[in-house]
Amino acid sequence: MTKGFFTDTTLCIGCKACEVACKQWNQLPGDGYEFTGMSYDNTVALGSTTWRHVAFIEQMAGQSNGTSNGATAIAERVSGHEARSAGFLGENRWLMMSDVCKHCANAGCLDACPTGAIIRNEFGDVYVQPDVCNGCGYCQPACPFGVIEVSHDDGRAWKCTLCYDRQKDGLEPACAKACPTQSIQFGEIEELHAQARERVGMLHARGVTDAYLYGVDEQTSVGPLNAFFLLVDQPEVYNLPETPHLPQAKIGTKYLATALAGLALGAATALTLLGGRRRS
Amino acid sequence: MMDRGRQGRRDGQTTLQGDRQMHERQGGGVAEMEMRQTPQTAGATYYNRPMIKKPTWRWFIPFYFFIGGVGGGVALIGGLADLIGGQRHRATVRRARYIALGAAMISPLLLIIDLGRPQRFHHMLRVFKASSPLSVGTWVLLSFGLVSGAQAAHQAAEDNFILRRESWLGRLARLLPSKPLSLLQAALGVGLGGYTGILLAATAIPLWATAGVLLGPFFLATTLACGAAALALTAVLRRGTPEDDKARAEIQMVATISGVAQIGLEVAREAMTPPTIGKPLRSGTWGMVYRIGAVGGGMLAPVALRLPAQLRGRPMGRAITVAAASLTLAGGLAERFAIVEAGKQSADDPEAYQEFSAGQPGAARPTPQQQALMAPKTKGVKARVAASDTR
Repeated sequence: MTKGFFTDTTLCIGCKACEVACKQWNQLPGDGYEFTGMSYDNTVALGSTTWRHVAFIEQMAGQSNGTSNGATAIAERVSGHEARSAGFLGENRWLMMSDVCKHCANAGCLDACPTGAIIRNEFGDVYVQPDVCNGCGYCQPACPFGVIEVSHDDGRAWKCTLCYDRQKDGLEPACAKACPTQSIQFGEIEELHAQARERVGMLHARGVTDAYLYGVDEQTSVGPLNAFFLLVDQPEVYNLPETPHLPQAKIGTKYLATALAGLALGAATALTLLGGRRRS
Repeated sequence: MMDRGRQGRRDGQTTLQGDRQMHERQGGGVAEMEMRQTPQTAGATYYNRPMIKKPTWRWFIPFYFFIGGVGGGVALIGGLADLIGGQRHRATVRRARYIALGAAMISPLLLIIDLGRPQRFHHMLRVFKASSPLSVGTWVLLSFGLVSGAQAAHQAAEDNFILRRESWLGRLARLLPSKPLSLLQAALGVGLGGYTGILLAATAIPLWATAGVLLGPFFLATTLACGAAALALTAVLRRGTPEDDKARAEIQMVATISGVAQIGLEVAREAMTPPTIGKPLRSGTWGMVYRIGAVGGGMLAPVALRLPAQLRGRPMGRAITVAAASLTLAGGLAERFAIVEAGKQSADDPEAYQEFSAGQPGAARPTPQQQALMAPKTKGVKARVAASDTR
């Protein structure tokens, strides 16, 4: 029985209750007061002390994300330019998405961890044991989603635990509990898949034809994601990779190539050292 | 710098983007002008923020890649020289054993200092995981340290150096089976020199991951070149008997062979790296360090310096020996630092990561049907009808 998250971005209102609930329950320190100017996103990214992150994407007609400037948008509206279908929220829209660790079926961090600190727990989720982690930091570049991070203060790697402690007591994770719009749903992954497919069908029927699921049916080396998403634009708009690759997917070939190179260079060296003896 | 993402584009990468670009081209007036300045959708990033996290490794790690590499290369040459190099290579073997021990002692220190929790370094020894090159490397380094210690002790007892030949410890050390250990040390040298390349390649960092199977062999070639250079450099002051000259010429030949291997692998790596991803190694500070320092100074120049004498079969001048060996070592150091730092830059570049994770079969993106529905309004009307039909 694998438990996970279904995050439906069409229901997200950007209240950040998930971020707050996560910080409170997991007693994570604050990250300071940085004003980024990136729409309402001052959290910026997932990290060692941020296990839920609400992304805000402002899209004006003809523009793909919040990095565009208002003047361009107005010029486009004046000229009657439209780049997007009326789909979700029409042509000028504000997308929000609560991002989280994906708890991949094949997790790069877990495969990379040399201490065995990162495990898959009885709920099928990827969990870092803080009493084992020695902060080597190799999991950090091994995550294809840029989730896990080594804390500067504490020296260990941290990420979403999917509220392992709450799950053990039969409670849903803090973020899902706090979400006021059910944008974050927690449950048995098979049931969530069914719910999510139904939701996509409903959205399509209502004219939100660009809705699709991210992390369910794609054949990628990271496998299905135990925290998957309903999106209405390209993955990279939400800072998600189009095709996440498991870093260790072809590691056997890499070992083999290096071993063969070792044999070749070793043989060349041996021949060089031997050739001299015959001459002498 | 911040504008990179907006200027970037991946032409016609998806049907959707192709459609949008066509639509944009058809759009008129002011909008079209604006469009050209800020291309849309294709190459969209999230405020140009990184999509993945770069490693937090400090300078200890690339420096270890170098030191461990020298140790590995020296061990490979020294081990083989002990087995088949004959009497002539006694001095080579001796120096190789001492240098390998030095590298094997410094390396763990560099690695442990860099840990977030150094006092927990031994947690690495809880498990062995083939999926983690870092775990494999831990065990290779540990074994390499033990074997190098044994070999150096054996050598010291033979040399009556530090360890007295006839002391009980010296006698014990001389009992060690040095020939089998030489073979083991050579094999572990290959492991130590090659695993670091695999370690970098098995990450999500675009620059390292695209180098794929080549990075391990490439690191190994540099390892062997640096090992040969270290042995050539430490032999330069020895008085030259004809036998010694022959041994030295052979080490120089190993250096040239590994230098040629380095160049070949670098050309292949460069050829298979797309421009967006390879940028940090082609321009900027680390690009210059890499191109001028590592490739030019560390690979091409030493080979060019050694080849004339080697082709004519003449003994190499002392100045050329020192210059070529120093350049190889400096180049090896530059290569390790440049590859690590450029990798960090490529991790920070969302465009590079998008290119790396783009457009494979089974990608997470709307189905062709959905893409058609997402296209501009003129098509959207038709599409919505289709969607309601399928209900």
